[in-house]
Amino acid sequence: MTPMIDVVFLLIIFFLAVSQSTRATQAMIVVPTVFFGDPQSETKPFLIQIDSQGNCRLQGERTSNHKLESAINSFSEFKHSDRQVVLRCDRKCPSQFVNQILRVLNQNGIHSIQTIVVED
Amino acid sequence: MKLKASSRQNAQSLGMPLVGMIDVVFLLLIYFLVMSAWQQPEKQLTAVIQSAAIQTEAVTDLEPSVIKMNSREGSVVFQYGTRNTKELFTLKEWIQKTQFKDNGIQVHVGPDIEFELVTQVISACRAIGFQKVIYVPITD
Repeated sequence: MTPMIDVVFLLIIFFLAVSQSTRATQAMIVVPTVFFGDPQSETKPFLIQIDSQGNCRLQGERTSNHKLESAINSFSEFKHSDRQVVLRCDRKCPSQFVNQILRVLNQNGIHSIQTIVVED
Repeated sequence: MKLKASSRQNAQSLGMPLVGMIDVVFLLLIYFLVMSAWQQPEKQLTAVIQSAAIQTEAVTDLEPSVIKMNSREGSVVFQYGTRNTKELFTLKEWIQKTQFKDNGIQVHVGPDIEFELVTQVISACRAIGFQKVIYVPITD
């Protein structure tokens, strides 16, 4: 009986830890639902998150929109690697925020992005 | 977490409801298992970013098809060639009839459009067979 209770407690602690870390990294973003999407790649991407209010996070760090360009430049690994740039944007986010970020990325030599979605 | 015999005896002597506690623990375990199973797997959409300035310079004989998305009076209007529609379904029908899919397709996105609608247009283009979908952000 005692080992079983031990295992159950360990499982609960595992699920609690995973759900907490997922909540922290995903910043309460509801991603868009689409009919068709490609499978996610296995490589670790450079992650840009935008919530429904247009607030931006680069690699989990909160960044104000007017400091975005300097923030992108501060990530030196970002420009000199082949890592994919992944945009995790809230479904309700107005496009002007996305457009602004994409324009800055384009000016900094990033010409391709992956957008996170879920299939219907 | 392994309880020693002495501590178990203490728990029993204090009247700790061990059976009730195990029930709660099992319920918690089932809750987390179900919640993790319900999460939908995430997918991705690939798009090429192209600024409006570059787009006007790079005019070739084989220009890609262009979809323009603009917000007018609270609703989104899709412009494809000379035709306009407010229905995504109608837009899908039009782009399905496009013959030269190898040239790619440009999606010009104006301000004040929900991002989900933009992704649905990009997804439709990819599903129809356009290998290259170019996102052109219109910031003005």
